[in-house]
Amino acid sequence: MRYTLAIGILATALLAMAPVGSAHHSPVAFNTQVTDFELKGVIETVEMRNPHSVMKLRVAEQDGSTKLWDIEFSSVNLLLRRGWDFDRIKVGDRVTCVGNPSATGKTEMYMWSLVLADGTEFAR
Amino acid sequence: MSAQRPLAAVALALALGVTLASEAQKEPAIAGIWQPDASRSQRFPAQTSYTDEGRRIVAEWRASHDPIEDDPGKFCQAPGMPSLALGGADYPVEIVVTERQVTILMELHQQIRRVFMNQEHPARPFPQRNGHSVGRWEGDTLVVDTVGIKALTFGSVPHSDRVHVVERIRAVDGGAALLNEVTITDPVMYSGSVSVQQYYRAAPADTRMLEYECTEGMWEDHEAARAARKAGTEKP
Repeated sequence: MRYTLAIGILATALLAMAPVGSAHHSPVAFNTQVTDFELKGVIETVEMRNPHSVMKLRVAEQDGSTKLWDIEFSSVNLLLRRGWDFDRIKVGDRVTCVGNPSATGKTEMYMWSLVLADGTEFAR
Repeated sequence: MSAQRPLAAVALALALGVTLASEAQKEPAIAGIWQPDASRSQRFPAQTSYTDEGRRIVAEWRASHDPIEDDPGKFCQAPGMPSLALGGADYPVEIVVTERQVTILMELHQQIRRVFMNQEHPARPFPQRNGHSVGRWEGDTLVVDTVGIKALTFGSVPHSDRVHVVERIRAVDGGAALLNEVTITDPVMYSGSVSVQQYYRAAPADTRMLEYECTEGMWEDHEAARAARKAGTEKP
């Protein structure tokens, strides 16, 4: 019982520390015909990296539950050149992500535009 | 009067020296950092005239690989030449010119091409993704000949190890742009040569090349799996 509880706590801790992990989906993974798919939520993890940056976004469902979405976006190199201010994109921030939805119905999207709570937009 | 002659000689020598130094420091126009310009460039034609063998190789690849799960980009696979010569994504390219070697540094995937000047290819070059490149100057145009490219079916130009690439690279528009005329021949894959024009814009003067580490996410996945294994096997 004691072991089970300890393992449970450890598993929960690991889950809480869940890494953003690798991400690079082919464009066919997303419905590129739809460019205005929008998600509002709270950032749980975010990593600016190559080949694609990744974010986990906690999104509230209509029934009161929440779902964790995988947000994939451009490489850190291109974001830097496009003027994204990484100091302003932090865990706990409430943001709006706009882009392409999953082509296969998964809770993931490719983000082309990020809007912060104060209306600041970082695009492409 | 006689005292003026040595002075004139010194002045002449100084002027000559300055001129020679300035000539020596003048860089070829293709040197510098360039940004791919998709608005002017041609893409490798999607409907390329494959040979029967080329069509079979590509069809076999497509039939055996899921476009999402088996995407080489997911595994940080750099397609190498000839795809590299086609500019591709919006990442800068830096060209460094010396007498013996032209070095082409691509930010995307931190790829490096070395063009060995005024040399012949080895008789049997070891196949590598970027191949073996030799170059020569024709006026202000750098002509690059590349062979010894490892066969690869993914990327924008599926090719065999018999692919041969000739590039003619020169500055245009008064140095504001760079043009690479790329000709690709591969008797195994394509029934004729394919020529594509690739343009680049001169990058703004303050542009700095960045590193491109691609595998951090894969390592993070590994670390998560390792931590999960440890959590599952070790008793507290």
